[in-house]
Amino acid sequence: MTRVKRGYTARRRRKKIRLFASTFIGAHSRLTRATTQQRMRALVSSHLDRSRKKIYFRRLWITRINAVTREERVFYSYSKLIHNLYKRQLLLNRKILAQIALSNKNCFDMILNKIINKKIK
Amino acid sequence: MAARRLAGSVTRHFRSLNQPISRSLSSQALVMRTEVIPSPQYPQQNSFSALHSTNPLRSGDLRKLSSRSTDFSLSEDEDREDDDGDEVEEGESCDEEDGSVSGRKLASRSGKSKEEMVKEAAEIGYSVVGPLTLSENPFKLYEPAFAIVQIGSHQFKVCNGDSIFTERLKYCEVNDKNGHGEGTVQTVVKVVMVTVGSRKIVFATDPCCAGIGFHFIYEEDGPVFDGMCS
Repeated sequence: MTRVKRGYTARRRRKKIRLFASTFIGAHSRLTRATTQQRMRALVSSHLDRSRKKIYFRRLWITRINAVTREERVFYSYSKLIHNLYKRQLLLNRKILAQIALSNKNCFDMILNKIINKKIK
Repeated sequence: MAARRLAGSVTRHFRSLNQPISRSLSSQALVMRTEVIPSPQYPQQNSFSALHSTNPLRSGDLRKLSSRSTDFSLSEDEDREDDDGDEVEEGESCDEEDGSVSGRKLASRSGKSKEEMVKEAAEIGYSVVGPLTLSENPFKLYEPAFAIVQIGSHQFKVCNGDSIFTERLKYCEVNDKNGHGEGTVQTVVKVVMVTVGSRKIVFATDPCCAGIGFHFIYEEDGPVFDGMCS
């Protein structure tokens, strides 16, 4: 039989995989088998983390709102704030509240005052 | 969030003006530039009560009239504010540090009487109210206002000139101007809260507070890339 070389198919496939994992540490970016495995793990993680990212950010916003609320008022917390927000029908979401709490504290104070005063009435 | 906000760029706006409106099947992104308009209730504090003129302003004449005789040395901020108030042209280099002296000099050099100067100023379109005294402080530092806008289920905090990427709005075309507030027609954009103020001053936080206008301009259509989806 004539000698047949397998060509460039495999090389091109591995080149793409290597490019994807080019920034990985150590053997994970150098050795083909390790690179392939790490690429699979990376893709799985990125898929999962896309939904986790939303959870993480919401958690961060809640933590920030909680911190600023407790700082401003005694015996007041995030849970009470959210409850009063819904009662007052103020539609601000946690992302915006956290941003206002950080960047524009006067505004956040005014929101708190409005909610609390409304509640007392 | 910060990735969604792009500085409003003139080039994008001009590109959208030049390009024909293309409705591709996959285009879902909407770039909007926002503009918060203060109401007469909260007048802009960076200008005198001068009339707006359609005639081109002559720099020489303006300099004669704008540099008032003042006894105190103006600070940098007040220099800038005086320039704005007297409607000096952009790009003009006005040396206000010598304003008090140059004003008298220019008036004497021009050879015009006071009435003639007033008349000429009126023709151009402004009237000089009087000299600024030490006790007066008509100008405050400009502090931007922001509004919180809800489009669909997403809320954005926008300031004047901000651009945001959103889903496409149903009845909007490129270069359409939509708005909320006095004198505008409310569209699918819901203004959740309009707050006039900044870090130091908050004037109002009521939803849809009276006297605040909020406009946005639909800049361009485009496909959605990774990281751009709303």
